[in-house]
Amino acid sequence: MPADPFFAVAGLAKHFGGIHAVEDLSFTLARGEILGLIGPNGSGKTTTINIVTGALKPDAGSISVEGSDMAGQAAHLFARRGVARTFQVPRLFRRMTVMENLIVPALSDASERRPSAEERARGVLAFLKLEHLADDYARALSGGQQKLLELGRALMLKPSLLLLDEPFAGVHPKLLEQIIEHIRTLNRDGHTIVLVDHNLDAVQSIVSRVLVMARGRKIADGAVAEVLQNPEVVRAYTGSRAGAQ
Amino acid sequence: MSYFLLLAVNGLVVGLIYALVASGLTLVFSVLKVVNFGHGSLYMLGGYASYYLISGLGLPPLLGVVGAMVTLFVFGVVFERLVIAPMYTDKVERKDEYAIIVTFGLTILITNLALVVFGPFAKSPPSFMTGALIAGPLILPYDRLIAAVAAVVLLVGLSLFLKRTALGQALDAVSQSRESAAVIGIDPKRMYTVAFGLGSALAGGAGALIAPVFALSPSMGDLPAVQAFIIIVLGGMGSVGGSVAGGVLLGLVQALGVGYLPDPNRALAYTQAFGALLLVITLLVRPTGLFGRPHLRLE
Repeated sequence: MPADPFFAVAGLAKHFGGIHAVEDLSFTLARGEILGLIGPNGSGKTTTINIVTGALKPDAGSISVEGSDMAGQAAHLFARRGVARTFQVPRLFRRMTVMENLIVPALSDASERRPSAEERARGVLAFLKLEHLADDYARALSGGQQKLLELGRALMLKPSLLLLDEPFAGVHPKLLEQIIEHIRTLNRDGHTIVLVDHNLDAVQSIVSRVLVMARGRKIADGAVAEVLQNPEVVRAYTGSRAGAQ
Repeated sequence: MSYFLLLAVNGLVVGLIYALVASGLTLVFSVLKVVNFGHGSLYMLGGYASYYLISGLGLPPLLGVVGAMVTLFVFGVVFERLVIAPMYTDKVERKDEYAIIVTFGLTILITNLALVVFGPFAKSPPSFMTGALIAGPLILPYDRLIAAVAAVVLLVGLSLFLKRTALGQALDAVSQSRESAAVIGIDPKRMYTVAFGLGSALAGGAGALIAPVFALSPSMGDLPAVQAFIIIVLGGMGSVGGSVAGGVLLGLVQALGVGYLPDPNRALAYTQAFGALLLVITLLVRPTGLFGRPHLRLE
Protein backbone atom coordinates (compact mmCIF):
# COMPACT_ATOMS: atom_id res chain seq x y z
CA MET A 1 0.00 0.00 0.00
CA PRO A 2 1.39 3.46 -0.86
CA ALA A 3 2.29 5.49 2.25
CA ASP A 4 -0.01 8.32 1.22
CA PRO A 5 -2.49 6.90 -1.29
CA PHE A 6 -4.24 9.21 -3.70
CA PHE A 7 -7.48 7.26 -3.31
CA ALA A 8 -8.27 4.86 -0.48
CA VAL A 9 -11.30 2.81 0.46
CA ALA A 10 -11.41 1.11 3.85
CA GLY A 11 -13.98 -1.22 5.38
CA LEU A 12 -16.64 -0.29 2.85
CA ALA A 13 -20.00 -2.01 3.31
CA LYS A 14 -23.41 -1.74 1.73
CA HIS A 15 -26.41 -3.91 2.54
CA PHE A 16 -29.77 -4.04 0.80
CA GLY A 17 -32.04 -5.71 3.32
CA GLY A 18 -30.36 -9.04 4.01
CA ILE A 19 -28.14 -8.90 0.94
CA HIS A 20 -24.53 -7.91 1.56
CA ALA A 21 -23.80 -6.20 -1.75
CA VAL A 22 -20.40 -4.97 -0.54
CA GLU A 23 -18.70 -6.20 2.62
CA ASP A 24 -15.52 -4.97 4.26
CA LEU A 25 -13.92 -3.79 1.02
CA SER A 26 -10.57 -2.03 1.23
CA PHE A 27 -8.12 -0.97 -1.46
CA THR A 28 -5.90 1.93 -2.38
CA LEU A 29 -4.81 3.58 -5.58
CA ALA A 30 -1.63 5.49 -6.25
CA ARG A 31 -1.84 8.56 -8.45
CA GLY A 32 -1.63 7.56 -12.11
CA GLU A 33 -2.40 3.91 -11.41
CA ILE A 34 -4.86 1.88 -13.45
CA LEU A 35 -6.81 -0.86 -11.68
CA GLY A 36 -9.05 -3.53 -13.16
CA LEU A 37 -12.04 -4.28 -10.93
CA ILE A 38 -13.42 -7.63 -11.99
CA GLY A 39 -15.68 -10.36 -10.70
CA PRO A 40 -18.63 -12.48 -11.73
CA ASN A 41 -22.11 -11.00 -12.11
CA GLY A 42 -23.55 -9.82 -8.81
CA SER A 43 -20.16 -9.62 -7.14
CA GLY A 44 -20.66 -5.97 -6.11
CA LYS A 45 -18.51 -4.14 -8.67
CA THR A 46 -21.12 -1.64 -9.81
CA THR A 47 -22.37 -1.14 -6.25
CA THR A 48 -18.78 -0.29 -5.33
CA ILE A 49 -18.57 2.22 -8.18
CA ASN A 50 -21.90 3.70 -7.10
CA ILE A 51 -20.66 4.12 -3.53
CA VAL A 52 -17.30 5.64 -4.36
CA THR A 53 -18.95 8.19 -6.67
CA GLY A 54 -21.66 9.21 -4.20
CA ALA A 55 -24.64 7.63 -5.96
CA LEU A 56 -25.11 5.34 -2.95
CA LYS A 57 -24.31 6.00 0.68
CA PRO A 58 -22.21 3.30 2.34
CA ASP A 59 -23.43 1.64 5.53
CA ALA A 60 -19.86 1.59 6.81
CA GLY A 61 -16.36 2.47 5.77
CA SER A 62 -14.37 5.42 4.55
CA ILE A 63 -13.54 6.81 1.10
CA SER A 64 -10.53 9.04 1.00
CA VAL A 65 -9.80 11.25 -2.01
CA GLU A 66 -6.43 12.96 -1.69
CA GLY A 67 -6.70 12.72 2.08
CA SER A 68 -10.29 13.97 2.48
CA ASP A 69 -12.94 11.55 3.69
CA MET A 70 -15.83 11.73 1.22
CA ALA A 71 -17.91 8.75 2.42
CA GLY A 72 -21.62 9.50 2.28
CA GLN A 73 -21.26 12.77 0.39
CA ALA A 74 -23.49 13.59 -2.58
CA ALA A 75 -22.53 12.60 -6.13
CA HIS A 76 -22.03 16.16 -7.35
CA LEU A 77 -19.44 16.75 -4.61
CA PHE A 78 -17.46 13.71 -5.76
CA ALA A 79 -17.61 15.07 -9.32
CA ARG A 80 -16.40 18.48 -8.19
CA ARG A 81 -13.57 16.72 -6.36
CA GLY A 82 -12.47 15.23 -9.68
CA VAL A 83 -14.05 11.78 -9.36
CA ALA A 84 -15.75 11.10 -12.70
CA ARG A 85 -17.55 8.02 -13.90
CA THR A 86 -19.30 6.38 -16.79
CA PHE A 87 -22.24 3.96 -16.63
CA GLN A 88 -22.74 0.41 -17.93
CA VAL A 89 -25.52 1.76 -20.14
CA PRO A 90 -24.61 5.32 -21.16
CA ARG A 91 -26.75 7.93 -19.45
CA LEU A 92 -26.33 10.88 -21.72
CA PHE A 93 -28.53 13.92 -22.09
CA ARG A 94 -30.22 12.37 -25.06
CA ARG A 95 -31.99 15.48 -26.26
CA MET A 96 -28.88 17.60 -26.16
CA THR A 97 -26.33 17.63 -28.96
CA VAL A 98 -22.95 15.94 -28.58
CA MET A 99 -21.36 19.36 -28.06
CA GLU A 100 -23.93 20.37 -25.43
CA ASN A 101 -23.33 17.11 -23.58
CA LEU A 102 -19.69 18.12 -23.24
CA ILE A 103 -20.23 21.77 -22.41
CA VAL A 104 -22.77 21.29 -19.60
CA PRO A 105 -20.30 19.54 -17.24
CA ALA A 106 -17.68 22.19 -17.89
CA LEU A 107 -20.13 24.97 -17.09
CA SER A 108 -21.15 23.29 -13.84
CA ASP A 109 -17.84 24.75 -12.64
CA ALA A 110 -18.77 28.41 -12.17
CA SER A 111 -15.21 29.53 -12.88
CA GLU A 112 -15.25 28.24 -16.47
CA ARG A 113 -16.59 30.47 -19.25
CA ARG A 114 -18.40 29.17 -22.33
CA PRO A 115 -15.64 29.94 -24.91
CA SER A 116 -13.10 28.00 -22.89
CA ALA A 117 -15.59 25.15 -22.36
CA GLU A 118 -16.26 25.01 -26.10
CA GLU A 119 -12.56 24.94 -26.89
CA ARG A 120 -11.96 22.10 -24.44
CA ALA A 121 -15.00 20.26 -25.81
CA ARG A 122 -13.58 20.51 -29.32
CA GLY A 123 -10.30 19.09 -28.00
CA VAL A 124 -12.11 16.17 -26.38
CA LEU A 125 -14.10 15.52 -29.56
CA ALA A 126 -10.85 15.47 -31.56
CA PHE A 127 -9.27 13.07 -29.05
CA LEU A 128 -12.28 10.75 -29.29
CA LYS A 129 -12.55 11.22 -33.08
CA LEU A 130 -16.14 12.42 -32.76
CA GLU A 131 -15.73 15.90 -34.29
CA HIS A 132 -18.02 15.06 -37.20
CA LEU A 133 -20.85 14.32 -34.74
CA ALA A 134 -20.61 17.55 -32.72
CA ASP A 135 -24.02 18.86 -33.78
CA ASP A 136 -25.84 15.52 -33.73
CA TYR A 137 -28.22 14.70 -30.92
CA ALA A 138 -26.80 12.21 -28.42
CA ARG A 139 -29.78 9.92 -28.96
CA ALA A 140 -28.78 9.49 -32.61
CA LEU A 141 -25.37 7.97 -31.80
CA SER A 142 -24.58 4.25 -31.90
CA GLY A 143 -24.04 2.41 -28.60
CA GLY A 144 -20.25 2.58 -28.95
CA GLN A 145 -20.29 6.26 -29.86
CA GLN A 146 -22.49 6.93 -26.82
CA LYS A 147 -19.87 5.20 -24.66
CA LEU A 148 -17.18 7.40 -26.18
CA LEU A 149 -19.27 10.51 -25.62
CA GLU A 150 -19.87 9.55 -22.01
CA LEU A 151 -16.12 9.12 -21.59
CA GLY A 152 -15.71 12.57 -23.13
CA ARG A 153 -18.28 14.03 -20.75
CA ALA A 154 -16.32 12.60 -17.83
CA LEU A 155 -13.08 14.08 -19.24
CA MET A 156 -14.68 17.53 -19.34
CA LEU A 157 -14.63 17.43 -15.52
CA LYS A 158 -10.80 17.39 -15.66
CA PRO A 159 -10.96 14.26 -13.49
CA SER A 160 -8.21 13.10 -11.21
CA LEU A 161 -9.92 9.68 -10.96
CA LEU A 162 -11.91 8.03 -13.74
CA LEU A 163 -14.19 5.09 -12.99
CA LEU A 164 -15.28 3.31 -16.14
CA ASP A 165 -18.15 0.87 -15.68
CA GLU A 166 -18.11 -1.73 -18.46
CA PRO A 167 -16.81 0.52 -21.23
CA PHE A 168 -16.44 -2.47 -23.61
CA ALA A 169 -19.89 -4.03 -23.14
CA GLY A 170 -21.89 -4.22 -26.36
CA VAL A 171 -19.31 -2.27 -28.36
CA HIS A 172 -18.40 -3.12 -31.95
CA PRO A 173 -14.92 -4.78 -32.09
CA LYS A 174 -13.53 -1.94 -34.20
CA LEU A 175 -14.67 0.65 -31.68
CA LEU A 176 -13.47 -1.58 -28.84
CA GLU A 177 -9.87 -1.20 -30.05
CA GLN A 178 -10.39 2.54 -30.17
CA ILE A 179 -11.73 2.68 -26.60
CA ILE A 180 -8.85 0.52 -25.34
CA GLU A 181 -6.38 2.88 -26.98
CA HIS A 182 -8.11 5.92 -25.49
CA ILE A 183 -7.92 4.41 -22.00
CA ARG A 184 -4.22 3.62 -22.46
CA THR A 185 -3.57 7.17 -23.64
CA LEU A 186 -5.48 8.68 -20.72
CA ASN A 187 -3.49 6.55 -18.27
CA ARG A 188 -0.21 7.49 -19.97
CA ASP A 189 -1.27 11.12 -19.57
CA GLY A 190 -1.45 10.60 -15.81
CA HIS A 191 -5.14 9.82 -15.21
CA THR A 192 -5.86 7.41 -12.40
CA ILE A 193 -8.39 4.88 -13.67
CA VAL A 194 -10.58 2.12 -12.29
CA LEU A 195 -11.82 -0.14 -15.04
CA VAL A 196 -14.75 -2.48 -14.47
CA ASP A 197 -15.52 -4.96 -17.22
CA HIS A 198 -16.30 -8.59 -17.97
CA ASN A 199 -14.05 -8.63 -21.02
CA LEU A 200 -10.98 -10.08 -19.32
CA ASP A 201 -8.89 -10.01 -22.49
CA ALA A 202 -9.52 -6.30 -22.90
CA VAL A 203 -8.93 -5.60 -19.20
CA GLN A 204 -5.69 -7.61 -19.17
CA SER A 205 -4.43 -5.73 -22.19
CA ILE A 206 -4.65 -2.44 -20.30
CA VAL A 207 -4.08 -3.00 -16.59
CA SER A 208 -1.25 -4.51 -14.65
CA ARG A 209 -3.20 -4.87 -11.39
CA VAL A 210 -6.63 -6.36 -10.81
CA LEU A 211 -8.91 -6.53 -7.81
CA VAL A 212 -11.36 -9.41 -7.87
CA MET A 213 -14.68 -9.34 -6.03
CA ALA A 214 -17.10 -12.17 -5.34
CA ARG A 215 -20.31 -12.00 -3.30
CA GLY A 216 -19.48 -8.44 -2.24
CA ARG A 217 -16.02 -9.22 -0.90
CA LYS A 218 -12.52 -8.72 -2.20
CA ILE A 219 -11.03 -12.14 -2.89
CA ALA A 220 -7.81 -11.13 -4.61
CA ASP A 221 -5.79 -8.04 -5.42
CA GLY A 222 -2.51 -8.01 -7.29
CA ALA A 223 -0.70 -8.55 -10.56
CA VAL A 224 -2.97 -9.84 -13.32
CA ALA A 225 -1.13 -13.07 -14.13
CA GLU A 226 -0.82 -13.98 -10.48
CA VAL A 227 -4.42 -13.18 -9.55
CA LEU A 228 -5.92 -15.10 -12.46
CA GLN A 229 -4.13 -18.22 -11.25
CA ASN A 230 -5.55 -17.79 -7.75
CA PRO A 231 -7.74 -20.84 -7.00
CA GLU A 232 -10.36 -18.71 -5.22
CA VAL A 233 -10.66 -16.49 -8.28
CA VAL A 234 -11.00 -19.50 -10.54
CA ARG A 235 -13.70 -20.92 -8.24
CA ALA A 236 -15.57 -17.61 -8.24
CA TYR A 237 -15.63 -17.55 -12.03
CA THR A 238 -16.19 -21.23 -12.77
CA GLY A 239 -18.01 -22.34 -9.65
CA SER A 240 -15.63 -25.31 -9.58
CA ARG A 241 -12.26 -26.25 -8.13
CA ALA A 242 -10.74 -26.58 -11.59
CA GLY A 243 -7.44 -24.82 -12.22
CA ALA A 244 -7.11 -21.75 -14.32
CA GLN A 245 -7.36 -22.37 -18.04
CA MET B 1 -63.91 39.00 -40.65
CA SER B 2 -63.48 41.91 -38.24
CA TYR B 3 -65.45 40.00 -35.61
CA PHE B 4 -63.19 36.98 -36.13
CA LEU B 5 -60.10 39.18 -35.81
CA LEU B 6 -61.38 40.72 -32.60
CA LEU B 7 -62.07 37.31 -31.08
CA ALA B 8 -58.75 35.91 -32.26
CA VAL B 9 -56.71 38.78 -30.82
CA ASN B 10 -58.49 38.54 -27.47
CA GLY B 11 -58.01 34.77 -27.51
CA LEU B 12 -54.32 35.26 -28.25
CA VAL B 13 -53.90 37.68 -25.33
CA VAL B 14 -55.58 35.33 -22.86
CA GLY B 15 -53.73 32.37 -24.38
CA LEU B 16 -50.36 34.03 -23.81
CA ILE B 17 -51.18 34.57 -20.15
CA TYR B 18 -52.29 30.92 -19.92
CA ALA B 19 -48.99 29.96 -21.55
CA LEU B 20 -47.05 31.90 -18.94
CA VAL B 21 -48.85 30.14 -16.10
CA ALA B 22 -48.44 26.75 -17.78
CA SER B 23 -44.72 27.31 -18.46
CA GLY B 24 -44.10 27.75 -14.75
CA LEU B 25 -46.02 24.59 -14.00
CA THR B 26 -44.08 22.72 -16.69
CA LEU B 27 -40.75 23.96 -15.38
CA VAL B 28 -41.53 22.65 -11.90
CA PHE B 29 -42.91 19.38 -13.24
CA SER B 30 -39.96 18.71 -15.56
CA VAL B 31 -37.24 19.38 -13.04
CA LEU B 32 -38.78 18.24 -9.74
CA LYS B 33 -41.21 15.66 -11.19
CA VAL B 34 -43.77 17.27 -8.89
CA VAL B 35 -47.22 18.38 -10.02
CA ASN B 36 -47.72 21.64 -8.18
CA PHE B 37 -51.41 21.77 -7.33
CA GLY B 38 -50.74 25.09 -5.60
CA HIS B 39 -49.72 26.85 -8.81
CA GLY B 40 -52.99 28.80 -9.07
CA SER B 41 -52.54 30.28 -5.62
CA LEU B 42 -49.10 31.57 -6.68
CA TYR B 43 -50.78 33.26 -9.66
CA MET B 44 -53.23 34.91 -7.26
CA LEU B 45 -50.42 35.97 -4.90
CA GLY B 46 -48.61 37.58 -7.83
CA GLY B 47 -51.69 39.67 -8.59
CA TYR B 48 -51.99 40.87 -5.02
CA ALA B 49 -48.23 41.42 -4.69
CA SER B 50 -48.26 43.77 -7.68
CA TYR B 51 -51.40 45.51 -6.34
CA TYR B 52 -49.76 46.28 -2.99
CA LEU B 53 -46.40 47.18 -4.54
CA ILE B 54 -48.13 49.66 -6.84
CA SER B 55 -50.67 51.08 -4.38
CA GLY B 56 -48.52 50.79 -1.23
CA LEU B 57 -45.02 51.63 -2.45
CA GLY B 58 -46.13 53.73 -5.39
CA LEU B 59 -44.20 51.69 -7.97
CA PRO B 60 -45.08 52.18 -11.65
CA PRO B 61 -47.41 49.33 -12.76
CA LEU B 62 -44.83 47.49 -14.88
CA LEU B 63 -42.27 47.68 -12.08
CA GLY B 64 -45.01 46.31 -9.85
CA VAL B 65 -45.10 43.24 -12.11
CA VAL B 66 -41.33 42.82 -11.81
CA GLY B 67 -41.59 43.27 -8.05
CA ALA B 68 -44.34 40.66 -7.88
CA MET B 69 -42.18 38.19 -9.79
CA VAL B 70 -39.24 38.77 -7.45
CA THR B 71 -41.54 38.39 -4.42
CA LEU B 72 -42.97 35.14 -5.78
CA PHE B 73 -39.50 33.84 -6.65
CA VAL B 74 -38.44 34.34 -3.03
CA PHE B 75 -41.69 32.80 -1.81
CA GLY B 76 -41.18 29.79 -4.09
CA VAL B 77 -37.59 29.29 -2.95
CA VAL B 78 -38.57 29.42 0.72
CA PHE B 79 -41.57 27.11 0.21
CA GLU B 80 -39.46 24.59 -1.71
CA ARG B 81 -36.70 24.58 0.91
CA LEU B 82 -39.08 24.28 3.86
CA VAL B 83 -41.87 22.10 2.51
CA ILE B 84 -40.84 20.31 -0.69
CA ALA B 85 -37.20 19.56 0.20
CA PRO B 86 -37.96 16.93 2.88
CA MET B 87 -39.34 14.85 0.01
CA TYR B 88 -35.79 14.21 -1.25
CA THR B 89 -34.67 12.76 2.07
CA ASP B 90 -35.34 9.41 3.68
CA LYS B 91 -37.76 11.14 6.09
CA VAL B 92 -40.56 10.89 3.54
CA GLU B 93 -41.46 7.40 2.38
CA ARG B 94 -44.38 8.07 0.03
CA LYS B 95 -42.91 10.91 -1.96
CA ASP B 96 -45.56 11.26 -4.67
CA GLU B 97 -48.39 11.38 -2.15
CA TYR B 98 -46.41 13.84 -0.03
CA ALA B 99 -46.01 16.21 -3.00
CA ILE B 100 -49.73 16.07 -3.80
CA ILE B 101 -50.73 16.75 -0.21
CA VAL B 102 -48.35 19.64 0.43
CA THR B 103 -49.12 21.42 -2.84
CA PHE B 104 -52.88 20.99 -2.33
CA GLY B 105 -52.31 22.22 1.21
CA LEU B 106 -50.54 25.26 -0.21
CA THR B 107 -53.63 26.16 -2.24
CA ILE B 108 -56.03 25.73 0.67
CA LEU B 109 -53.80 27.64 3.08
CA ILE B 110 -53.00 30.55 0.78
CA THR B 111 -56.51 30.97 -0.61
CA ASN B 112 -58.00 31.09 2.88
CA LEU B 113 -55.25 33.32 4.21
CA ALA B 114 -55.87 35.64 1.26
CA LEU B 115 -59.54 35.85 2.22
CA VAL B 116 -58.53 37.01 5.69
CA VAL B 117 -55.63 39.26 4.71
CA PHE B 118 -56.83 40.76 1.40
CA GLY B 119 -60.56 40.53 2.04
CA PRO B 120 -63.25 38.90 -0.08
CA PHE B 121 -63.97 41.91 -2.27
CA ALA B 122 -62.44 42.41 -5.68
CA LYS B 123 -59.50 44.77 -6.01
CA SER B 124 -58.10 46.28 -9.16
CA PRO B 125 -54.62 47.76 -9.57
CA PRO B 126 -54.20 50.80 -11.84
CA SER B 127 -53.93 50.30 -15.59
CA PHE B 128 -50.58 49.91 -17.29
CA MET B 129 -51.91 52.47 -19.75
CA THR B 130 -55.44 53.81 -20.21
CA GLY B 131 -57.14 53.72 -23.58
CA ALA B 132 -57.11 51.23 -26.40
CA LEU B 133 -55.34 50.50 -29.62
CA ILE B 134 -57.76 51.04 -32.48
CA ALA B 135 -56.74 49.62 -35.83
CA GLY B 136 -59.61 49.43 -38.25
CA PRO B 137 -62.20 47.12 -36.77
CA LEU B 138 -59.82 45.97 -34.05
CA ILE B 139 -60.12 47.54 -30.61
CA LEU B 140 -57.61 46.29 -28.09
CA PRO B 141 -57.30 47.91 -24.64
CA TYR B 142 -53.69 48.83 -23.89
CA ASP B 143 -53.77 46.79 -20.67
CA ARG B 144 -54.39 43.64 -22.70
CA LEU B 145 -51.83 44.58 -25.32
CA ILE B 146 -49.15 45.29 -22.70
CA ALA B 147 -49.99 42.07 -20.84
CA ALA B 148 -49.61 40.10 -24.09
CA VAL B 149 -46.35 41.77 -25.09
CA ALA B 150 -44.91 41.30 -21.59
CA ALA B 151 -45.96 37.64 -21.66
CA VAL B 152 -44.16 37.16 -24.99
CA VAL B 153 -41.04 38.87 -23.60
CA LEU B 154 -41.09 36.61 -20.54
CA LEU B 155 -41.64 33.45 -22.59
CA VAL B 156 -38.85 34.31 -25.04
CA GLY B 157 -36.62 35.20 -22.09
CA LEU B 158 -37.39 31.87 -20.46
CA SER B 159 -36.60 30.00 -23.64
CA LEU B 160 -33.27 31.84 -24.11
CA PHE B 161 -32.42 31.32 -20.44
CA LEU B 162 -32.98 27.57 -20.73
CA LYS B 163 -30.99 27.22 -23.95
CA ARG B 164 -28.19 29.75 -23.62
CA THR B 165 -27.19 30.00 -19.96
CA ALA B 166 -25.23 27.60 -17.78
CA LEU B 167 -27.99 27.61 -15.16
CA GLY B 168 -30.68 26.99 -17.78
CA GLN B 169 -28.74 24.09 -19.27
CA ALA B 170 -28.17 22.69 -15.79
CA LEU B 171 -31.94 22.77 -15.22
CA ASP B 172 -32.40 21.03 -18.57
CA ALA B 173 -29.80 18.42 -17.60
CA VAL B 174 -31.60 17.67 -14.32
CA SER B 175 -34.93 17.47 -16.15
CA GLN B 176 -33.46 14.80 -18.44
CA SER B 177 -31.58 12.77 -15.82
CA ARG B 178 -30.94 13.90 -12.28
CA GLU B 179 -28.43 11.06 -11.78
CA SER B 180 -26.38 12.02 -14.84
CA ALA B 181 -26.55 15.67 -13.84
CA ALA B 182 -25.19 14.84 -10.39
CA VAL B 183 -22.20 12.89 -11.73
CA ILE B 184 -21.10 15.90 -13.77
CA GLY B 185 -21.11 18.20 -10.75
CA ILE B 186 -24.62 19.68 -10.86
CA ASP B 187 -26.40 19.75 -7.50
CA PRO B 188 -29.93 18.51 -8.34
CA LYS B 189 -31.37 19.86 -5.07
CA ARG B 190 -30.19 23.36 -5.91
CA MET B 191 -31.83 23.02 -9.32
CA TYR B 192 -35.10 21.96 -7.67
CA THR B 193 -35.05 25.15 -5.63
CA VAL B 194 -34.24 27.32 -8.64
CA ALA B 195 -36.95 25.64 -10.75
CA PHE B 196 -39.61 26.03 -8.06
CA GLY B 197 -38.63 29.67 -7.56
CA LEU B 198 -38.76 30.36 -11.30
CA GLY B 199 -42.06 28.50 -11.70
CA SER B 200 -43.54 30.56 -8.88
CA ALA B 201 -42.21 33.79 -10.41
CA LEU B 202 -43.79 32.94 -13.77
CA ALA B 203 -47.15 32.21 -12.14
CA GLY B 204 -46.88 35.42 -10.12
CA GLY B 205 -45.91 37.41 -13.21
CA ALA B 206 -48.96 36.12 -15.06
CA GLY B 207 -51.22 37.06 -12.15
CA ALA B 208 -49.67 40.52 -11.99
CA LEU B 209 -50.02 41.07 -15.74
CA ILE B 210 -53.67 40.08 -15.78
CA ALA B 211 -54.49 42.05 -12.62
CA PRO B 212 -55.38 45.33 -14.40
CA VAL B 213 -57.50 43.38 -16.93
CA PHE B 214 -59.54 41.26 -14.55
CA ALA B 215 -60.23 42.07 -10.90
CA LEU B 216 -58.22 40.45 -8.12
CA SER B 217 -59.90 38.00 -5.78
CA PRO B 218 -58.66 35.21 -3.50
CA SER B 219 -60.13 32.57 -5.79
CA MET B 220 -58.79 34.08 -9.03
CA GLY B 221 -56.12 31.37 -9.36
CA ASP B 222 -58.51 28.43 -9.44
CA LEU B 223 -59.45 28.64 -13.09
CA PRO B 224 -55.99 29.46 -14.51
CA ALA B 225 -54.59 26.50 -12.56
CA VAL B 226 -57.09 24.16 -14.22
CA GLN B 227 -56.32 25.74 -17.61
CA ALA B 228 -52.61 25.27 -16.96
CA PHE B 229 -53.11 21.56 -16.32
CA ILE B 230 -55.10 21.28 -19.55
CA ILE B 231 -52.34 23.14 -21.39
CA ILE B 232 -49.42 21.05 -20.18
CA VAL B 233 -51.26 17.88 -21.14
CA LEU B 234 -52.31 19.48 -24.43
CA GLY B 235 -48.80 20.70 -25.26
CA GLY B 236 -47.06 17.53 -24.17
CA MET B 237 -45.95 17.28 -20.57
CA GLY B 238 -42.50 18.65 -19.88
CA SER B 239 -42.21 20.87 -22.94
CA VAL B 240 -42.12 24.64 -22.39
CA GLY B 241 -42.58 25.16 -26.14
CA GLY B 242 -45.57 22.84 -26.00
CA SER B 243 -46.99 24.87 -23.12
CA VAL B 244 -46.79 28.05 -25.18
CA ALA B 245 -48.45 26.41 -28.18
CA GLY B 246 -51.05 24.77 -25.95
CA GLY B 247 -51.80 28.02 -24.13
CA VAL B 248 -52.26 30.02 -27.30
CA LEU B 249 -54.36 27.28 -28.88
CA LEU B 250 -56.59 27.01 -25.81
CA GLY B 251 -57.06 30.79 -25.65
CA LEU B 252 -57.99 30.93 -29.34
CA VAL B 253 -60.37 27.96 -29.21
CA GLN B 254 -62.14 29.33 -26.14
CA ALA B 255 -62.48 32.86 -27.56
CA LEU B 256 -63.67 31.71 -30.99
CA GLY B 257 -65.90 29.00 -29.57
CA VAL B 258 -67.64 31.42 -27.22
CA GLY B 259 -67.84 34.12 -29.90
CA TYR B 260 -69.49 31.91 -32.47
CA LEU B 261 -71.84 29.98 -30.20
CA PRO B 262 -75.34 30.58 -31.58
CA ASP B 263 -76.83 31.45 -28.17
CA PRO B 264 -74.89 34.53 -26.93
CA ASN B 265 -76.73 34.50 -23.58
CA ARG B 266 -75.20 31.16 -22.63
CA ALA B 267 -71.98 31.39 -24.57
CA LEU B 268 -69.69 32.34 -21.67
CA ALA B 269 -70.91 29.40 -19.62
CA TYR B 270 -69.39 27.07 -22.22
CA THR B 271 -65.87 28.56 -22.08
CA GLN B 272 -64.42 25.66 -20.10
CA ALA B 273 -66.29 23.12 -22.19
CA PHE B 274 -64.35 24.23 -25.28
CA GLY B 275 -61.08 23.67 -23.43
CA ALA B 276 -62.16 20.21 -22.34
CA LEU B 277 -63.31 19.35 -25.85
CA LEU B 278 -59.99 20.48 -27.32
CA LEU B 279 -58.13 18.35 -24.79
CA VAL B 280 -60.22 15.25 -25.51
CA ILE B 281 -59.82 15.58 -29.29
CA THR B 282 -56.07 16.21 -29.00
CA LEU B 283 -55.53 13.21 -26.76
CA LEU B 284 -57.58 10.99 -29.06
CA VAL B 285 -55.42 11.99 -32.02
CA ARG B 286 -52.08 12.39 -30.20
CA PRO B 287 -52.06 10.68 -26.79
CA THR B 288 -48.69 12.27 -25.89
CA GLY B 289 -50.03 15.79 -26.54
CA LEU B 290 -49.03 18.15 -29.35
CA PHE B 291 -45.29 18.08 -28.63
CA GLY B 292 -45.13 15.21 -26.18
CA ARG B 293 -42.51 12.49 -26.20
CA PRO B 294 -42.12 9.29 -24.27
CA HIS B 295 -39.85 11.00 -21.76
CA LEU B 296 -39.72 14.48 -20.34
CA ARG B 297 -37.36 17.37 -20.82
CA LEU B 298 -37.27 21.11 -20.95
CA GLU B 299 -37.28 22.76 -24.34
